[in-house]
Amino acid sequence: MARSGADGQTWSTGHAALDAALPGGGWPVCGLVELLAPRPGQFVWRLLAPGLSQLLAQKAGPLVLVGAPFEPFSPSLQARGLPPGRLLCVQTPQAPVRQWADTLQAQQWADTLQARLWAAQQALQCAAVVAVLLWLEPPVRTASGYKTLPSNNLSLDLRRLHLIAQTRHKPLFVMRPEAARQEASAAPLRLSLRDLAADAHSQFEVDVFKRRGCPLAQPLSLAAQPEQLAALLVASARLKLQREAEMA
Amino acid sequence: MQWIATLPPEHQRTAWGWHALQFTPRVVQVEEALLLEVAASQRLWGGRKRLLQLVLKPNQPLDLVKHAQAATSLIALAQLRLACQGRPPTPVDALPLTTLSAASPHLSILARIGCKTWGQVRSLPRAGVARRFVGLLDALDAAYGDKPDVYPWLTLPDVFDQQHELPGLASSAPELLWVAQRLLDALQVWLAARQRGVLAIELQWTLDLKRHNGVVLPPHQQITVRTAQPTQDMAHLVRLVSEHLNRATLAAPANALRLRTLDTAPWAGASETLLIEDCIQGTSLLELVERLSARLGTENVQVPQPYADHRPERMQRWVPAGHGLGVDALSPVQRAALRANAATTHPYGDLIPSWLLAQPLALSTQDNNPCYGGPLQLLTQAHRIDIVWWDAAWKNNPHSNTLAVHPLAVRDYFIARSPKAGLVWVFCARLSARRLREMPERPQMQACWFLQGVFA
Repeated sequence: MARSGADGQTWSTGHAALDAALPGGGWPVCGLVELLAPRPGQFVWRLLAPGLSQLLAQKAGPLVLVGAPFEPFSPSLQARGLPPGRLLCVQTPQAPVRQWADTLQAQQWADTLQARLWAAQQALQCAAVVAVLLWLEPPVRTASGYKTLPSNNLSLDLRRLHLIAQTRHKPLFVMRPEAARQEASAAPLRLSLRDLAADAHSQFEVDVFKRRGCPLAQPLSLAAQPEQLAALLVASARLKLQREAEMA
Repeated sequence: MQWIATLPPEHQRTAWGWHALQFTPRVVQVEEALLLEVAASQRLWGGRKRLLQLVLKPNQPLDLVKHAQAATSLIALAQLRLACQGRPPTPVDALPLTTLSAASPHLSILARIGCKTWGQVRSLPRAGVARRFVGLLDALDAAYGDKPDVYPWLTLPDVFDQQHELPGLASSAPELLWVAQRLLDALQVWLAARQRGVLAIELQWTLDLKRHNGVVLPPHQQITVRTAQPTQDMAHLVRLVSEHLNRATLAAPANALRLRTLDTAPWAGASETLLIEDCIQGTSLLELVERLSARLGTENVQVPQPYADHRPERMQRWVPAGHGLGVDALSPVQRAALRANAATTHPYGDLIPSWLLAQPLALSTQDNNPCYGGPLQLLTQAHRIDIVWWDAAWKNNPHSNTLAVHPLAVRDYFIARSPKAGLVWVFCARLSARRLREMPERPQMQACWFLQGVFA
C-alpha cells in the first residue's frame, strides 16, 4: 500500500478521487496534514477511517486521539475497521471532556492547547504509535459558528510537531477550525471540508487548498455517509414521499 | 588479601556501600572510608584492574571518589588518607602514624620519643608498647597482616527506605524534586545491587507545621508512583515523579523527604538487539501511557472497550489505557477477554454515529419539534429501544425527572439533520404506556428529546 515517489512515501486514503488529487497518490507517511472542518469532528471519520483502517491492519500499535470533541463510539468505528482496543483517547483535563461545553475562558483554552500539543508530541515520540489525530478546535460557540481564540505561536508549535512527525516517520492529522485557513502553516498538505447542501447532503466537499505543486482547481466531492446509512436515508425519504402521496 | 579503600562523600556513603556490594560481599564502613575486600572475587570480574574500573565506573549516579589499594585494610586506609593529603604513596614502614586511627590518642607521646612512622613503632620492644599504648599493637599487627581483620560487614536491606533532610524549607512540591533526584540515585544503586525493578515507590515529606490556619495537619504527606512493569530506568521514574509532584500540593512547608519502595519485582535486565527493525527510535508504549497518565490523570488517558448492552451509552466502557492496550501485565484470562471483546462487531455498525454523547444532551423543542442548532428534520422511522433497567444511576436518584435514564422509559431513535450540526442521532424518551398500566401510581412526565450522537 505504501508507495514511494518524488513526493516521499505515501499511503492510500481509501478514496480513489482523493488519492488522485494528492501528490504521491495518498496521505504522506510522515508529517503534518491539516484538516479544516466546519464543525468539530464533522466528516473526520468519513475522510480518515478508510485509510487509517488499512494502516492499522498493517502495523501494530495504537491510534492516538488527542482532545477529541466527542466520545468516539467504538461499535461504529469498529464497523469502519478501527478496532476499539487500538484507540488511545487522550483528553486534557481542562477541556470539556466528552461534552459540548458552551464557553471556555481564553486562558483556560491556552492551557488546554498546550496540554494537547504536549500530549501529541509525546505520542509522536513513542515508537509504537501508528498515527496521531489532534483536535485544536476551540469549543467556543458564537452565533455565527466557532470563534477562534488568539493562540500565540500555534504555527510555531505546529511546525515543531511537523518536524517531530517527520523524524519519527508518523502521520499527524491536525483538525482546526475553518477560520485557520488564513493563517500560515507548516503543513505541506491542507484540506478544507465543507458540507454540500445539494443532492440531499449525500456528499461533502474536500478542497485541497495547499499541496505540493499547483493547488486543486476544483474541490472534490466524496460520499458523506457509509453505504448502508446512505441507502437507509434514501429508502426513508422514499417512504416518506409515498406516505405523503397516500395522504394526499 | 587485597583491599580497596574508597572515600565516598558523606551523603552517598550508604549508596556507595550498596554499589560496592555488587562486587564483593565483604564491604565495610571504617570511619570515613569504605573498605572492600576483593581477593576472593577479583578473578570473577576479570582481574584487579578491571574490577577497579568497574567499581569506579564514571557513568553511574554516584560521584567519583578517591581510592587506594593495598594488601590489608589498614594499609589501604592509610594510603587513602595520604592520597587525600596530596602525598604520594609510601612503603608500609614509612607510613606516618597520623594515618593510623589507633595511634591518634598517643600521637604526642610517640612524637616526643621520636616515633613518626609505623616502622619505628614496630621496632620498639613489643611488651613495652603493649603496656604503654593500649590497642596500638593490635592495630599494627592487623595492618601488617599478622592478625585477621574482623569487621561487621555491610548487608543490603530488603526494602529501600531513605530519608533526606531538605537544604531549606520547601513550600511547593516541585522544590522537592532536587532531593527526590538524590534519593532516586540511591534507589538506582540499591536496585542494581539487589537486581530488582521498581513497581511502586512512595515519596513522603514531613510537614514543618503542626497546624496551619487553625487546621490540624497530618505529620506527613505522600504520593505513590506506580509503574506497570518493573523498571530500573531512572530517567523514566524521575519524569513520573516530577509529573506527580507538579500535580501535588503541600499543605505546609516540608522539611524532609523520604523515599521507600512499596513493591519491587525481580529484574530480568533490558534486552538489546542487533536487528535493524528492532532498533526503533522512541519511547515505548508503556512509557507513553505512564507519562500521559502521570500528567493528565488516568481518567483522561483511556481506551474504549465494547460491552454487551443494548443502551448506546453503555455499549462501550472506558478502561485505563495501560489495561486496554494490553501493555499492563495482564492475566491470560484478561487477555482472552480483551481479544474476545475486540472480535465482536455491532450488526448496525454503519447506521450508528461515530461520535457519542455519553450523557445525552436534553434538547429544547419548538412546536413539538426538537432543536439543535435550529429545528431538526427527522429523516428516518423510529427505532425503539426499551430501557427497563434498574441501574445504579436510577437507584441513587429515584426522583430525578430526567427521562433519559428513567427505568420505565422507552426511547425512539431517529437520524435527523440539523441545519448547523449535520447528521445527528436523537431520541425521544417517553414513559412506556404498557408499563405505566402495571404501576399503582402513575408518574406524569412529558416526552423529552435528547441528543445522543453525531455522525461524522
